[in-house]
Amino acid sequence: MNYFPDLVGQNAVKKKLSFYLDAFHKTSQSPFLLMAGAKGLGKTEFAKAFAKNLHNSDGEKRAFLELNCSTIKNNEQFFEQIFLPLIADNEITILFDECHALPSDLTMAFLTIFNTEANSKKNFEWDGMNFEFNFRQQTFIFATTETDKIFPPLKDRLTTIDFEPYNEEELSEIVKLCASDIDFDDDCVAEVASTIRGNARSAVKRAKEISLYCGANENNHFTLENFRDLQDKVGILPFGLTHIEKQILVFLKKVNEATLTGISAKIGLSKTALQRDHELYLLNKNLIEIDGKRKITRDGRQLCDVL
Amino acid sequence: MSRGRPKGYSPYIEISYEELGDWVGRKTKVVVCKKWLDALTDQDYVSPIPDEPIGSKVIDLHKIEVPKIEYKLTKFD
Repeated sequence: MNYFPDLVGQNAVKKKLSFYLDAFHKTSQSPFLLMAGAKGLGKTEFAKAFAKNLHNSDGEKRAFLELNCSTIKNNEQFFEQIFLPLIADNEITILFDECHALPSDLTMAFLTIFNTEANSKKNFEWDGMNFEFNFRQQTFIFATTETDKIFPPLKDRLTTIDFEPYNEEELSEIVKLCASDIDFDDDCVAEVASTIRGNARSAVKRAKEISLYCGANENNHFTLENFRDLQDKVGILPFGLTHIEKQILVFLKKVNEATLTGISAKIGLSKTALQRDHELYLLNKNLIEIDGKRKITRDGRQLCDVL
Repeated sequence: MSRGRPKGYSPYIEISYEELGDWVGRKTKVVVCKKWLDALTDQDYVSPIPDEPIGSKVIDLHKIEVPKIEYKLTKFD
């Protein structure tokens, strides 16, 4: 059965989640899932789609609760504002988004709660009160971009679902799906996909830009020439490079090699921001290399010439 | 022109221990007479944690706000 008809790519994720859904329909239980991967790869969308396929004992679809963990400050706030009014005695799926930001006392509580062995229920005592977790009624999913920041014993209790970057074919499919009223020229969609930074969210944003462009021109046919015009108007660079990355490439081409501090001084960004947000992507696309110092590659030089 | 407090005025007011607990919590420290407490508990009572007694500062209960957890509840059709 295809549980995820509206979602493109992530075939390994679909396969694993489908297995857990089949098992849920027989046992009413699911493992505690941890959706792990970079931003924009569809962790929340897949958690939601997974939840949509879960049914309550009366056959109704199970409700889905998304929590932003960075807004949870302590146990008291969680049990008072969330557990008692929304979770206790209810059939519901709960997604703890950005779960690396869980407060330490709730992380410790979860170590006890999610250490269930073979039981489908767990009683947790806190501050003189007893809270019952029923894992046939409540399904728990966690999601994060930063798995290294999750307390390892908690991570051990969760079943990790790894998300992979999308390839250009999948990104093309997402663009066409999100701009379904647009008639694309074949060579154009591949070119559009080549400027998307490997994640589904960027593909959705690009599809919206194309829809706006077509809407403004009152023409639902989108050609390569139209895309060049759109690139020029909104500043879309090859590989989806940002203008900071373009500056880094131009600078490295001019000086041949530079230290991270030197690039930071030239560009005006902190070394951390440069490494985290830009350098990794340039390395991934083989546009720069690091050999003690930062150097531009041959591919990088060629790209610089056309920028 | 009348000055001072009216006849019969007292700065103290009665409130049940239970109701006070609802406002300040059951774990809040309160100052009592040591002799009275020793007599009540039949031992030399030593406070385990030196803490600020209630009344040593004004607590504006309206200003204490518990931050809200952000959440979104979806019910599928």
